[in-house]
Amino acid sequence: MNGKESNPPRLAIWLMRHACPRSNNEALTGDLVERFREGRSYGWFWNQVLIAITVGVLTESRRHWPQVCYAITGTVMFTAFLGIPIFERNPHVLQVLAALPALAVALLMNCSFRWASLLRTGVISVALLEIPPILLAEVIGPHVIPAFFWFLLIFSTLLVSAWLGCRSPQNAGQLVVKHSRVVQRQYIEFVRHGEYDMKVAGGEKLALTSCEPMFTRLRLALRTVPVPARVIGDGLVTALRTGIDMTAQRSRAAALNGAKGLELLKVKAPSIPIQEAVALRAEDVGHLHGGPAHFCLLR
Amino acid sequence: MPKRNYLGELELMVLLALSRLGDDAYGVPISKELLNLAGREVALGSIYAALDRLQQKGFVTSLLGDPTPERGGRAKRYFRVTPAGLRAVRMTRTALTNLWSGIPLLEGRRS
Repeated sequence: MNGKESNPPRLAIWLMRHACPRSNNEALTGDLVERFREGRSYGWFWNQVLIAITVGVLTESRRHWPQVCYAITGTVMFTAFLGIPIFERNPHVLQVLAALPALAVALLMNCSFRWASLLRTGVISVALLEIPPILLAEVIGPHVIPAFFWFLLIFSTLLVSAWLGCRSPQNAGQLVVKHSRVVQRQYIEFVRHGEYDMKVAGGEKLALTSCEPMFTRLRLALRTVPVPARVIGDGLVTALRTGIDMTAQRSRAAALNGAKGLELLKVKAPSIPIQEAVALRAEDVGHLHGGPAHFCLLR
Repeated sequence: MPKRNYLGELELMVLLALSRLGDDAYGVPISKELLNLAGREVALGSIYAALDRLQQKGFVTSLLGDPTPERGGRAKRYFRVTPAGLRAVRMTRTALTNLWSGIPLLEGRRS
């Protein structure tokens, strides 16, 4: 197999990236590429990709079944009400209102009833359902469009509305837990690295610089010189806490030495490197820019 | 509603394959193990779906490995059976053994 043949089809890779659930997407794609480079055919690769997408869609539908339930029930009611003359004047809003109880039942069955979710989904449904019928009716005409197409369009619109408006409590809980663990980990690292890495050049000027500058971006005290200092390769959260004029030599800002005696907890938080990579990098934070002036002169 | 903690057929086979593979268990070896020992060619997407369910039940844990060039720079996800997973396998074996015993038709074929 030469170099070109050892590369799997790009379209299949693109489909895998965008149509499969994110949890195991990278690992699954890597496994498929590995097997393909062991000598599997293009047909095998495409077959595996289609199976993976189908299984992924079914898994996600099962996981978010209240939204799917809402979309199915709403679509059935919507299309049924379209045939009743009394609703012809303003069918969309009435049909959405008729679909709302379906959502309420679905959410109640899932023990995740939230008025906010219900209202949000209703508003989004009204907003979204107004768009396609108007556009299609204006462009093509309402009687030309096949009923199946209407069904598909309404179903997908309601599914998107439910997806946007509702959030399952399981996912929300996971997000909260992850967030708390991230914050805890960042605080621990902040304390761990922050306390021992202070270095003030020119110790004889320490007395003069003991009180001022008190705040970031203010001026230096009289008869002091700027110390070349910076925070190297820091993440967003820790950088935000370098509000006082103590400097760091390695990796973290120094602040709040009173936290020296805290016990460090072991926290497994795999999302920390991602958080740090995405966060703004505080390279060469310049606390001492601007002309020197005494803090008292600013009052 | 009580949580479903029993194993399906594919989940049981994947758990047994994981137990055999040990620390080097990721998608490709698991699929090869199922093909060689059970004679089943299971799609990798189905294997990952089963692993996802097992992970939600707390029967396996996963760890992301390093990216490798033969996989196009994509990382492997290694899986490992938890003690709860081993308990579930033993319980399933006991249940199946109990169901298996006392069936004259099957016992006659065995002899």
